[in-house]
Amino acid sequence: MTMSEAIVAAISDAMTEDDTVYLMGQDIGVFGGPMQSAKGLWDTFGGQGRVIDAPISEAAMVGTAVGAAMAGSRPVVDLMFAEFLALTMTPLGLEGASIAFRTRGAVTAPLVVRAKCGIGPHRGHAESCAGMLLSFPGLKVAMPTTPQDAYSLTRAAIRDDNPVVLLEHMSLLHGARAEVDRTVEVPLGAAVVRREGADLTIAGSGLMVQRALRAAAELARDGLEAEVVDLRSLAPLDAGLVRRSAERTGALLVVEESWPGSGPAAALCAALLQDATVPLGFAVRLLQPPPTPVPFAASLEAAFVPSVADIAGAARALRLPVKGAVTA
Amino acid sequence: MTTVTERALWEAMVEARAFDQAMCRHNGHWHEARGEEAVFVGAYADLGPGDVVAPHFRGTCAVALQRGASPDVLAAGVFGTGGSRSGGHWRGDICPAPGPRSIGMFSGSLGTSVAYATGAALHLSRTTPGAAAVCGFGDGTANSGIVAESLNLAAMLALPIVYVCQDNQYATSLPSAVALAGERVSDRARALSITAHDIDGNDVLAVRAAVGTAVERARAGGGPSFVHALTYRMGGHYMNDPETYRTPEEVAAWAERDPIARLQEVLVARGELDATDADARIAQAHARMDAVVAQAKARGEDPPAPPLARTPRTRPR
Ligand SMILES: Cc1ncc(C[n+]2csc(CCOP(=O)(O)OP(=O)(O)O)c2C)c(N)n1
Repeated sequence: MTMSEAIVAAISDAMTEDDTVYLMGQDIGVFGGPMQSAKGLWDTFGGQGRVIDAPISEAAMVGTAVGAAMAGSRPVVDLMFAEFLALTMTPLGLEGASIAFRTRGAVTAPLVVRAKCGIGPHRGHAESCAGMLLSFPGLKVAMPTTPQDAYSLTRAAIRDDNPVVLLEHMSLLHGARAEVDRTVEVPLGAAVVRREGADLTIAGSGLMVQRALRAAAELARDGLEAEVVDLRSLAPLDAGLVRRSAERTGALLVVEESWPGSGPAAALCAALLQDATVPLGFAVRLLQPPPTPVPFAASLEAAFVPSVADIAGAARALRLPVKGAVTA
Repeated sequence: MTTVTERALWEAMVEARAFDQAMCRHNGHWHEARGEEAVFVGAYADLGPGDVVAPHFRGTCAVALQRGASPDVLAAGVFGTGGSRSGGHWRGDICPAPGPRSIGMFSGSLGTSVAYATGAALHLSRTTPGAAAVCGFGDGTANSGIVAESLNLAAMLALPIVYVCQDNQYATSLPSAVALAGERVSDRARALSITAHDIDGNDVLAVRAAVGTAVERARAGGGPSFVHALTYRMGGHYMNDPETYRTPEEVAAWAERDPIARLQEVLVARGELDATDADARIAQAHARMDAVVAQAKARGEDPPAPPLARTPRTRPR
């Protein structure tokens, strides 16, 4: 399966198992969803009214999902693109994510919001708005990078009793195919080591994981072994795994595609500074886009998002001077 | 299937006002609902426990009282102290903590509860044929974008919901006559092919009849309705409102149309209520609620419950 197919399969399986799961979004009926995000679901569930084609009403799609979830449903909203999340922040972030706290767990809002983001074939709608999402307590955010994780994280998100945003990176959705084991569980909040290495740790999510892996292959040719950590969940964030890896390798490079002011990198740094013994015991460097909107021209877009070469370069700058000093 | 007598409607309005006035005396953050009781008592009177209620924030405690909530717990909720259902975790001001079949104000933001009620109606339409949601909101809130989105979605999906605009003619200081383009707020519903009624919101029997008809339509699969109930806020927007935006004459004219006095006259004329008894009952209700609220306030020193422990939830179907 591709990642996109895996997400659809996860939703389909959840709908088969639990008839309180429904999917609402724009063009998810016979059209099959933007970029095929709901391919085939209409044929199976459309007749039951469980695949609902919505008008351009993002706040109400999420707002009705909060109300339906409180009443006993487990809605999934296909928001098309993450930039539309900004229209939904009161029902999703400020209120939906607060219900469990406010009622001490007596009432919760189990809903999932799917949103495509990142640079990719779509040429536009690249903003992930990740930083905005991370600032709401209680809101969970997951971002898969493999078909297996796409399946398992989607299942975990639908099963979760609180609002979860599933960020689907457009460069990865229709990329590599892989076997998916439907019995594998991936909990929200657990990062994973995608490649082991002893010389530095590169942490990121989405497309940055794929690029970090390619950069690591390049670095290996120079004798520099990078460990690559896929964050998988941006909230809760598995800072513990990142710290343990960085303590082992002695250096941490955080790569990020979203805006630099606040976001996973900032959250990770805050968590590391808060939990770690001071001094940290490892060097830290952030590789992030500049604080501008995502540009459109291909050349500007390429300059905005960290490339494989950028990642490799930042890794060398972080690590090689030490080795260079030894060999000089 | 109505079991609530007209006399009980009168009592519910008396109780609503007694709680409201006790809050006015003891809570500077309170948003007084005096004069609007006919709307929120009439709209929710005939619903069952499986139906979803989402009252406007002004009057929401009265709806909870009507549905059997204890005034002590409600009052503790308003003060946001340890005795409340949320242990002080809910927004400790104006609105009670929600349940799966009741929705209130979540944060300080208006409008979203209309979407939540619409979503609850979507859930009911899929799981509980014959159940309905009733959702109240002010004339000011009616201008919020999410309200328009929700109404359209409800019409498109023929959801079992009744929207009740509790039009007290002001959004804080802004008159609805100024804020609303067009003649009537209900015309917005008509534009979406939603059946709409314009009624006298100070006549509890008219409110109950209009909402009742709309609820029956919803139960039968007839889709959403909109009830525009014209009423008046006798007090200020909140306790410290200087009320510079309206005249005492306007307020006095609406005092003539007090919803409690109106029904009381009807019941007395019919011999269903004795005028002297009525006055005694009103005095009793005020004394009782005043004691309840004063006590809840005095207990405000209670240590709050410990921070969120995620207790397992009971999921209604
Ligand atoms: C989204 C939002 N905007 C503004 C406010 C501030 N505010 C609180 S009450 C109120 C007036 C609401 O008017 P209406 O809906 O008619 O209800 P009423 O107070 O008249 O009962 C306003 C503007 C708010 N709480 N939420």
